[in-house]
Amino acid sequence: MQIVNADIVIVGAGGAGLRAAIAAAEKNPGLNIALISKVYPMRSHTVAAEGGSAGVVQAHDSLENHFQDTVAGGDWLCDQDTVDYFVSHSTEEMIRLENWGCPWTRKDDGNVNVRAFGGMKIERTWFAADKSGFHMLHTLFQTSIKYPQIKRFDEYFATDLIIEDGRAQGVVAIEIATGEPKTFLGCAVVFATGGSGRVFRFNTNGAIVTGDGHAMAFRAGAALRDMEFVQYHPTGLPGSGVLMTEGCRGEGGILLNKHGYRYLQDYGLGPETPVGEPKNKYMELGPRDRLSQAFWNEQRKGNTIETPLGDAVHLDLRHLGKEKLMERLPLICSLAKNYLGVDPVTDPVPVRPAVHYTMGGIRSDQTCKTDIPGLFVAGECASNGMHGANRLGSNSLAETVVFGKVAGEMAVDFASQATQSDEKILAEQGRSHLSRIDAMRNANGTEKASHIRHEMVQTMEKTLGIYRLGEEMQEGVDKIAELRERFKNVKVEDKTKVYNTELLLAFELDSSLMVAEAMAVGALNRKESRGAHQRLDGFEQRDDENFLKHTLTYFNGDKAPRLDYEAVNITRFQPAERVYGAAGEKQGEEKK
Amino acid sequence: MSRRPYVRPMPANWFMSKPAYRFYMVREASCVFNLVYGLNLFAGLWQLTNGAEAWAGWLALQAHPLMIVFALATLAMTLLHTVTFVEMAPRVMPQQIRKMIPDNTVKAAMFGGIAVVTAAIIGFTAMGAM
Amino acid sequence: MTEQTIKLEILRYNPEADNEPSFGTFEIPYNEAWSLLDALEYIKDELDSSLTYRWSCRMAVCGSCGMVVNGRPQLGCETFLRDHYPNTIKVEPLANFPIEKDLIVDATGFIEKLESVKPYIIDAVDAMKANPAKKVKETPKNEIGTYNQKPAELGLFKQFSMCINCMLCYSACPQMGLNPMFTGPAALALGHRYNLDSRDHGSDERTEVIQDKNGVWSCTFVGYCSEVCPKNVDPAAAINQNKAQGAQDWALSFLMPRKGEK
Repeated sequence: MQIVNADIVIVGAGGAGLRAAIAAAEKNPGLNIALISKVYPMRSHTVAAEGGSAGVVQAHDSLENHFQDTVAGGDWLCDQDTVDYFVSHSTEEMIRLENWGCPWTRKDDGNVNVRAFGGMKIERTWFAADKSGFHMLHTLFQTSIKYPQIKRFDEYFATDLIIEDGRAQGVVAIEIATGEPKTFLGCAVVFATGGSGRVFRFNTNGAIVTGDGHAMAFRAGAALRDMEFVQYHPTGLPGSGVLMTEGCRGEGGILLNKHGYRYLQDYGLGPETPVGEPKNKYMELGPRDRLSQAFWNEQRKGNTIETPLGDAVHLDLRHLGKEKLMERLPLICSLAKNYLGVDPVTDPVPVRPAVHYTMGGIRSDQTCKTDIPGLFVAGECASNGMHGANRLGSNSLAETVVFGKVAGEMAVDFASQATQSDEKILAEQGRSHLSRIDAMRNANGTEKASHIRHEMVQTMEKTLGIYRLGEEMQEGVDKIAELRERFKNVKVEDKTKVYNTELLLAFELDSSLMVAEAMAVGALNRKESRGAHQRLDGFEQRDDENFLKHTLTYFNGDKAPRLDYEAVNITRFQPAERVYGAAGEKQGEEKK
Repeated sequence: MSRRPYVRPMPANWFMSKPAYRFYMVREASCVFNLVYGLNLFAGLWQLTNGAEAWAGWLALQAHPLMIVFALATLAMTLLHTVTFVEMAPRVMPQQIRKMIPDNTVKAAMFGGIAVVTAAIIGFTAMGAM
Repeated sequence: MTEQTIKLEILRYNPEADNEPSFGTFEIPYNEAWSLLDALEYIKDELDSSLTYRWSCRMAVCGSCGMVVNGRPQLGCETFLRDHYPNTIKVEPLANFPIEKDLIVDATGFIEKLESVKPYIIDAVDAMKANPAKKVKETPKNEIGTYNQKPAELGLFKQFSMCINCMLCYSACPQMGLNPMFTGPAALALGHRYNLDSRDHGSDERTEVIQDKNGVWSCTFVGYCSEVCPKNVDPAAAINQNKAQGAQDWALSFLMPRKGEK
């Protein structure tokens, strides 16, 4: 088994992984960095982010505003030290991206423009039309080419962490083109492996968002935290789930039910604001969890529009006019035309909520450290306390670079102090992971992985949706446990080595099932409603007394994950009622 | 190593495989017609220097049905060459200029220029014939 | 009522069993809303799990799913069954690339070409490091530290920054097939993108690759690359703008022999 020696091993080459690699290369140019990704970097799912990336830049805005919006948006489940670090470093990262060539949309005077976004009190979302993630990712990828010490291993699929001497010292990864497993050794490991939205049927995520990193860290002993908080984005296209950015509403788009009524005013987000004059934190600029919940209620009331692809509401952009749509939202226009045959210039776009983001992840802190020494995490795979129970739009792109940098630098510090264990022992451990790969490759049972996957995504959608019931969640927990059991009897029919994507899908499904179970168990046991976790079975209220705490899940072999809880870091912003619209404004005034 | 990438050979008649390629080949071939026609004109000039008889012979050759067909084909190809050239020209202009002047303006100006020159040539020829 | 179906002919190649690729036919239920990717997923999930192809975002931005559909390079996610029904859809891997397996081609050469054009901002400091004799004026910055770039300056290169690296243009380009060393449309357009960026001072650093015989001079302006580009990048324009520039520089080098000397 070939051994690849590096100083730092980074898994994942999306926004966070690339930023970590660049940060590490800049901090200590003498180190070798192995950047491993299961896809070419520009295929990473950062590419699909549309709306923008938050960083305080206007004179009448403040870090405190961004801090409060984020913590309140997260329903006070955010670790406030992490949020503080984040808001005070995101703007410099946006500037750095600009210096590296990111084509942010500009104002006439040559300064960067910002747009309004849901749950944000003041416009602070940097954007590159409606392809912000695409441009950030390509800028980072292209900039990374400058650093010869970043050695990329594109299309390598990581399967296991190597832990020796109580710390992470590398990974085992399959070279997809040859099917050969290789051992990557380094004194520090960074995971920037993204989220796990594909465990749900109807989602905005790419095929690759399967929670591989979550599961690898989980199996190695790290806690997965707050996994029950799964964000539904209120505006996905029916059928495909393709995302219609929140920027649509930031630019002034409105949501209508089948009576042409702006229903959000009935859900604590009003009063109605004039069409074409979006007001921050009112109506369509409320947070994502509230908007998705409002859709669910409208559907219950029979106010949604029936389409061949399921119930929907209308996202109306017509009043923005063709010119503005083409300048600010060109991708949205072409996606709506291609996938639904609807031209947003002339017709409202049918939309419905779709799973978008996993707030939870591998437990970490503002320094990206995890439960496993030497393992650092950044981006969607991490739960550093940034997002709490609900993430605000445009905070995640910023998170990838803010904490990508931290992870890269922390990895350098760690690697420069650590000495590698005996290579023979590490190689031996690398080989020990081969048995799992071989077992999967030779899996000759009777279950079809694709069918288990279909059952998993349907189960998750049915039992862990926008609103949840204890009984249904229990059903979900049981079903996922059953599927995990059945997965042991899976069959991998393709026995070839070269580009065996069936084998990789099996590995991904294995990971997804573990992540799904952590989500379901965490949700069932959180007996309150907070942010994206809303219950209808007697736990409709937020319960700060019992549940102002993070859920921790630990790998427990074949059994359901072991549960634990830990305190939330609250520094100065005490929990209060989470209100938007006029009520939010009133609360703000009272505080003054 | 189990990897064995398969390289598909480029067929010698690759240009027949797609309408876009066929059109490209016709477009490129248009200059061949102009080259041959140009040589023909030079031959005419050469014959002119060789006296009236040689010149008359060349003129007679031009009246041959095959030469007329060739002349018409050259005209058609020249028009194709002109149109495709003008269509492509704005895209080759420096981006700075391209962003200042709409493509259609450039094309209109080029077609206008070609029309003026063509009219002038036809005009002078007509005057010469009078 | 019998279920409506549609046929797909897919070029298959298993490097561990086949000597050369051959077509396999699949008949699947016809669903009006399905993209070609949905159809391929159906085949992989239900009919033949060994079918191999790349895909991810489903929304024409990750660039993974380029394939040749009925002879034309297209993104699988942007190809819809309804546009072909009831006819058979013929699916092949991208042309001008070695086939690794089924619809997956070897992209390593493409990535190397992207890297070769130095696709990153070379600022005034780096530009002077590369060529101390050259005087470079730093692009002015705004108060907060961003470069000052007017919308018009952004507009200059914006179109060339839209490339999703889907490689359709390489599949479309016959010169690519005739000369695999050709740097190719996407990579040259990317180099052009940085050359046109007011923040960048690295055009001299890119000249060698861009003006090489395997650079823009391998292009004969077939123009099909721009026709198939799903993002209207118009790489043919980028390449041919560079030819015009290169020819001009070459002519000027006779008049001012010192220009361009390192």
